[in-house]
Amino acid sequence: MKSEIIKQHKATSNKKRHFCILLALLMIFGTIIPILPAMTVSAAEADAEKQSRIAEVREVLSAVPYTEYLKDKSDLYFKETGKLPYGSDTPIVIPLNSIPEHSIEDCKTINKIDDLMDILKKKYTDEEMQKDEVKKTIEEFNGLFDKGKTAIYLPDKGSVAFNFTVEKEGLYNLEFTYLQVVGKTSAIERMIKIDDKVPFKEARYITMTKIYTDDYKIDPETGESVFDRDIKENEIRPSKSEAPEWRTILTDDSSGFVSEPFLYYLTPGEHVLTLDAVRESVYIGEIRFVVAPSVPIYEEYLEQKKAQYGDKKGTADIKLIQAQMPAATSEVTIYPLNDRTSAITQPQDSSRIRLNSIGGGKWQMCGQWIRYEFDIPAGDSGWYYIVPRFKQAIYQGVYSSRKIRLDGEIPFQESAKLRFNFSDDWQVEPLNDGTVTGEGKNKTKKFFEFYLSEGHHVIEFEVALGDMAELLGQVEDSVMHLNEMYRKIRMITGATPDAYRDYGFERQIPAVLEGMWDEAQNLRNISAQLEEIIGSKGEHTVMLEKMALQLDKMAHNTDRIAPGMDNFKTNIGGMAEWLLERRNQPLEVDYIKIQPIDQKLPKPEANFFEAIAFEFSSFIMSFFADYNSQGAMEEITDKSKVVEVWLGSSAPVMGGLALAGRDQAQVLRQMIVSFTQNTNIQVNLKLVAGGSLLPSVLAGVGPDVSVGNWGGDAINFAIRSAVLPLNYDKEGNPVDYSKGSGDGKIKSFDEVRTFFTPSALTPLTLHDDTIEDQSKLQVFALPECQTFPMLFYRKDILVDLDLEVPTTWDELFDIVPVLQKKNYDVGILPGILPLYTFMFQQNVPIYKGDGIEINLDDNIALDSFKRMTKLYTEYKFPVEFNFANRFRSGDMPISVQYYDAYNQLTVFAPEIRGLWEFVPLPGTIREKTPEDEKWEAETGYLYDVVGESETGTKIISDNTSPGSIICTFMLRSSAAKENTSNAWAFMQWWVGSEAQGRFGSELVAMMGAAAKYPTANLEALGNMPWPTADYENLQEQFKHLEAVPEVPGGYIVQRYVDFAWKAVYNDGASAVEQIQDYLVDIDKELSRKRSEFNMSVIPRDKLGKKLVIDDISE
Amino acid sequence: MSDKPISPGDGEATVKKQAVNRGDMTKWQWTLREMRVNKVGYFMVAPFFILFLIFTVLPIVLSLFFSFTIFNMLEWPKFVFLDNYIRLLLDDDTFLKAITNTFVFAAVTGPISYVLSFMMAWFINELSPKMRAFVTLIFYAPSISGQVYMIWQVIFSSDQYGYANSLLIRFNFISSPILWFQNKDYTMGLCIVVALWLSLGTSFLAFIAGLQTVDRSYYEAGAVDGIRNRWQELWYVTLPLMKNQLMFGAVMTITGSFGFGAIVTALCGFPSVEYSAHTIMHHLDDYGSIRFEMGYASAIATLLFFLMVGANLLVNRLLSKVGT
Repeated sequence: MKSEIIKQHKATSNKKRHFCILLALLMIFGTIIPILPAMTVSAAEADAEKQSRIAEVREVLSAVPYTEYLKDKSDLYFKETGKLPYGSDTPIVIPLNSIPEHSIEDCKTINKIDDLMDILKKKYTDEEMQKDEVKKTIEEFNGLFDKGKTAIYLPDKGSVAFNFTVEKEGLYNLEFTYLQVVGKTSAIERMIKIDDKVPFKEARYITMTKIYTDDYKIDPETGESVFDRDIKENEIRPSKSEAPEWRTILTDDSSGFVSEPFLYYLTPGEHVLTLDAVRESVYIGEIRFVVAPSVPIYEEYLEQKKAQYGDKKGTADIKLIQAQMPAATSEVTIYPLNDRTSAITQPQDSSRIRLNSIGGGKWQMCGQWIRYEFDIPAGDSGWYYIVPRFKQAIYQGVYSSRKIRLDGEIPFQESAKLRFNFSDDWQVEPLNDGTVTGEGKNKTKKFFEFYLSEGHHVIEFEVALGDMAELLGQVEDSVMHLNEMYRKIRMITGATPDAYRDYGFERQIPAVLEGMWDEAQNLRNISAQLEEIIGSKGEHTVMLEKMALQLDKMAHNTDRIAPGMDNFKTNIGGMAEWLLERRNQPLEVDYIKIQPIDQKLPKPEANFFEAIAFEFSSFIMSFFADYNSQGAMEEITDKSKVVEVWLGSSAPVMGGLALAGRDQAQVLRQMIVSFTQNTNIQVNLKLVAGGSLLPSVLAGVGPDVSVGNWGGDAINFAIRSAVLPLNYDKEGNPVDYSKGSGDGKIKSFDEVRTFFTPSALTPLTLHDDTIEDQSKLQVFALPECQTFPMLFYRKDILVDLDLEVPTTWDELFDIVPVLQKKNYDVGILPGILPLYTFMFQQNVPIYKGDGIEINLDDNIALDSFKRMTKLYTEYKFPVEFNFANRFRSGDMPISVQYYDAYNQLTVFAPEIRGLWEFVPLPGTIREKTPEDEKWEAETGYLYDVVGESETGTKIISDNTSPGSIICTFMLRSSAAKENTSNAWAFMQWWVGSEAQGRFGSELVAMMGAAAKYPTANLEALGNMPWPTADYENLQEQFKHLEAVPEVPGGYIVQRYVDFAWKAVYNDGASAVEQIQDYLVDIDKELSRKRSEFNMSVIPRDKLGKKLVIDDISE
Repeated sequence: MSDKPISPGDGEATVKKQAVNRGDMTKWQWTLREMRVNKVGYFMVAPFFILFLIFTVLPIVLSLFFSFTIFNMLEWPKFVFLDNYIRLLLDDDTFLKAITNTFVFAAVTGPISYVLSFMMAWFINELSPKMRAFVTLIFYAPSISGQVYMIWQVIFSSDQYGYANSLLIRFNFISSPILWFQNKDYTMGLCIVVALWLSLGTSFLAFIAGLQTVDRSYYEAGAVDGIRNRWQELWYVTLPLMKNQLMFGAVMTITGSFGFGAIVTALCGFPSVEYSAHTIMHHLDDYGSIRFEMGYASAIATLLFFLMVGANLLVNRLLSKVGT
């Protein structure tokens, strides 16, 4: 009976089904046919647009290295004439007096002083207009106008194009006359295009240095510049200020691999020169294509000068130039140091700080220069030695290089490759390039003699790579090629190549195999040349030869490629690392002596007895020195007013590799000296063992202020009343620690809170729904660092695959198959982070109310959780991975990482410089809500509108990122000591723009120009030397940040979310069920913790009756 | 006090030597007198004793006291009497899990590592002196080289490039990496393996030392008395003679296996996934340093303390059976 009915039913349903299918097909075709043409048109348009954008990136990335460019161009000529094809002797001056075509809005020509004043007034406040630097700018412009010239102002973003005409074909140098715009502390950088094309790779980073001077004190008695001193007679480092001054340079290689200025090949006719802003705005006074006069070699120089001036030896006894007092430097981070390694470093003191040298590790990157000035008295013209007392004790066995410019010119070719050898001791030697003359016993170094005429002279020492420059450049190119090879092979073999499979490389990538032979040969050449220059085989040559051998083997027998891939990758990394280290050229200088060539050289080191005496008295004096009062300008008698600051040695470190607690303390201590100097508040900074803060507060011996704490600690301590609130006390009365300090230097909390995004304070605020006025919530700490995930991607790989960087999650998921087909991975840190991201992007809070209940039972929240688990179960993203390694090798071209991974990449993976970028997180597409409108109105940060829904509401892409912070707080011990106002003074200084900015630049000095400190202070962040494009991306993300509020018991959320998603991943459990299992446990813990602190809790009968949702749309 | 009435049976002689007779005075008096007599000894032991008192005994007593309170480390403790214990034993699922895990750990790693240590020591003892020193160093190396157990994290890394994962993927046993230390099915097992690998520690050294101290002549005497094989020799001669070392080894192993926690944290993170390798130590840590509930943590510590004492007593009993 039953079965019959079923049969019947089946029969009818079969008929029905056929009919339905027919109908459906009809309908589909019916709807598609009219749409089809429309769709294809718009899709084709969009596609073409996309293709052109990709092509643009590809073109920039695929620019050839300069050496190849030059070879190509001169080959054109060599065949016919056999000479280097220099251009015309009359310079091509590019007109600046009218705003060029295709220019951007802010770009302005400056024809008269009023034009300049317009720009200045827009840029600076009235107060800033009174600064010396700005006045100096105006002065410099007056000088320019007096010469009848004009200038142009180029802002720090966008590109400007100039038209010009060339008459004679050939190679030209490009010369800029520029003036720095007073403001940030980074060098000016532009990308140069000629006829809309980057001529060669290096033209992407054309750098113009800025000029800084030290603010010395003038000794009233002698009228000489001296350093300021504190009450204990310690010398205090002077502050730096910008010294705008027109400067003319020939564009050259900022990484130093090419030691000559760049030559650009120009054909006769109309051309366009485009300057793309990379960082910093600048005034340009003149742009010229010139043929620079050739520099003579040393012998020619001698001949010329001797013919001109005779060979009269110098006679003047010139005062030592103390290196620690330069006339100008190119960096803020090149400042006087205190050398205690030698008794005769001048000046020296066994107990007090004497600033007596300069440079060291802070003066090691190519292009950084120091300028000195000196006078040769009348009648003393003649031949002199230039004799520095120097030390290079950092890199064993190798030398550092410098080039000098005497009165603005490189006197002879050899003076661009001066050598300073390694030694643990100080050395004194006239300038030389390491050339040795004579045989056996008579072997001496060839010291350079300089003809100095009477009068004023200026000498600039600039970091250069010397003899090694070209070779290092070749190694860099080689690393680039090898990386490309690796990537191409990897696309075929995948992440774990199968040693026993025949991949058919000969068929698939014949060009790569070909390239291997060439590259191997090339590496052997480089190795041989290196050996010649350095004089011995060593680590460097072995590494190159190993690589060459491997390449040979792989090219010879393709079966070796797959098993050798790991090794190949390691070797490439090794080469890149070596290259990075070799580029550092540290040199510390004590003084520079200009002496007649027949005088005896000063002695380089103290003799035995001097050294003993100095060390012994230093040791004795170390018992009496008061290190806390360093920098104090007034005696402080009340020791309880000294602010005790603790920094945990295991303090969380953001901002990269080199900055462990100890270094952090070192830098902070140096900075505190200037704080004490300005405020006369003494600070005692202690580096303490991690975890000792809590017990010591308990025992009542804690510090006044603790820096470098996890964001969560503030509230954790605060609810246990160990930390003092900064704005309102328990009863809701306002607190103001800045009161009574009068002179307005100490900012109040309300002023300080504007330094940060509102999200930075969220985790530092004690949320409480019982307080009526929600703007009066207590805040317990100030943020120092704020970091958040952003999307890192490899430009080169995406371009290879014809892909664009995804801006929404849907776009990301769309390209995942394309990536995975080529064995590429996408890396997203699993767990709570993506969950928070998804929730924040859909405006779903983590907690209900002030943390009384978890909000994960919300439909969207559950869906977010499910989406998160899908990343790993469905899309198969790796759960654990080494980001830096895999991003660098190209295994993982897209990854979501905390943005301070930027540092790690710049330091760790120099070989992919310029090939990657970070952008804001992908967004979630959703409808705009009234809350969004409100938020936009409050903050002024707008959402990306991507469309409009049927009902007329806007569709936006919300790319909010979950931020996390590191904070500073004041402990209750300071209230007991009645030292809160001093403690506050320190806190507001430390999180302030100046201190944070300086901390950032000190980091640069320590870790190299690429180091970036993730400060939470928006102004300081803006002042840091970020490349403009990166900074804009960063700023974009800063606008859309959210933070998880800290609530009592909040630790439990992460724990259970982790448990839940791991169960989903490991056992394939249902995501929704898993998380729901834990909701009651989470709520229970929250309630338990809240009741401990007498806060409102969910009624017991409501607990455990969480809404169970069985069905979430798949 | 000395003129306390004397019991009739003692006679006159005792009156003269009253201080010598213990029965004459209270226990307190006797102790004081003994202390006065041996004051040099007390003086010499004082430095250690004071430190021991302050840093070992006092904390135990304090923790006992705190276990009856609610104490967040920053504010004055509130007395709640047995609340902590009631909650711990009746209303804390995680604690039950932790206690199970701890017992499993202790039951598996304790005996195995103890026997293993002894066996190894016994074998090594047979080697020539130079060889013995060398082999001892090799076996002892894992436990002196600090965090070297992190090597296991490299081997069982969750990354697809971890040794275990990459091997399994290469031979097609799995297609996506296993999260070894993040998977509740594997954590316990792996941690036990690592614990055993590390177990040749102090007790192992003590056993070697113990084996060295046994006088050769005993073996000869044993042979004369009719010992037939090495096992009998071990049971009736060697072991009874090194009871002290056995006891020392046992105490070390017990405290070691009950206090096993740091390694789990280093390998599996804290807390381990779904508390799968959560031990009492972790529970203690969780409440002590994350939730700042020192009262509750003290209650856990007190229980752990008594557990260890109990286990020690048990082992003592067992060891007394050695050689019988």
